[in-house]
Amino acid sequence: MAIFTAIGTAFAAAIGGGAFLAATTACAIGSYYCEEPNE
Amino acid sequence: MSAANIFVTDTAVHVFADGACYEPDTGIVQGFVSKIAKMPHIQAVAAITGTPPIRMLVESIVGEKDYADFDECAARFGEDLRERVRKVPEYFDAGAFFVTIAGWSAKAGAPRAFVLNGCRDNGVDGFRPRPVKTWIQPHDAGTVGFKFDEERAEDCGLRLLEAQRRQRWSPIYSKCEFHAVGGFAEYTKLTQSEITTKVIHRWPDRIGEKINPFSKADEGRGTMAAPTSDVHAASPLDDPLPTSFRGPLKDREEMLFNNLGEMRADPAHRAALVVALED
Repeated sequence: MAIFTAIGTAFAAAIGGGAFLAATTACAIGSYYCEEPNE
Repeated sequence: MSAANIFVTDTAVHVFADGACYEPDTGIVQGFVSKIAKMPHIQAVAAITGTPPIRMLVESIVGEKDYADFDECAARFGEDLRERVRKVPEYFDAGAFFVTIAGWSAKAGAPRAFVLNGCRDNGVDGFRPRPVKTWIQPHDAGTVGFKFDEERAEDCGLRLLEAQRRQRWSPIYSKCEFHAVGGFAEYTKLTQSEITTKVIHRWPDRIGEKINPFSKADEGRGTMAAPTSDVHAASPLDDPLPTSFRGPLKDREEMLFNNLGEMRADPAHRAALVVALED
């Protein structure tokens, strides 16, 4: 839990992570190909 | 974070991911990071796309929940992740992430993988684990028909990443399109007893600049840039799709982006997310 609660912009600012750790740095792309196993 | 490709065979899981992290509204590279987390104590790996803190969250959950093995992780991880994200969704870009966990299933005596999306996707609720044999993300006409050859795994995976790098993509919540695969190409292989990882290529991308797969610095990999027998251009409509594929790609993408776009444009989208999280 300690790791979890530390995440965020305050944490990023504290360690100098800035934009890299900020929550707005999202980069997931919604398009994908999915093949399910035959089970 | 963008490219994550997973192939499950009879004896191994092969994971290929790029290493670029960029600003979603401009495509400007902000840093380089591995998107593949290793969890050898349960013989599993996670490929994560989305905001960087989600990787820390995934590793935190796996560490704290003390899953006995991959099978227990597969059974419980979805709810455990939902429970954490629902507390502070604003830290995780309102669920705009995908987590794929692959590992050795003692129950099946074989490798297995499942994927979770942080938001509702084409009728599939967020945080519901979906078993996958093949997962290619991102995907468009340029990667339709890709066939993974385990005998040439490294070369095959890199060709796929190169094809993804050449395309322009629009991240979830963003209406901008840009090249979004870069930094380095990482290949991780998981078997019953080993997890190995290596960088199989480095691209000349720089922090503070956009990815440009057609720059002079990218030359020298021209054979990778051209369509090959492994990755070829074809219309999704011309290529028979597996039954697991949920509808025409274009329709499905439009549905996803429109839904999420509305959520973002709407000041109340956080409330909508809460509804999704509570489903």
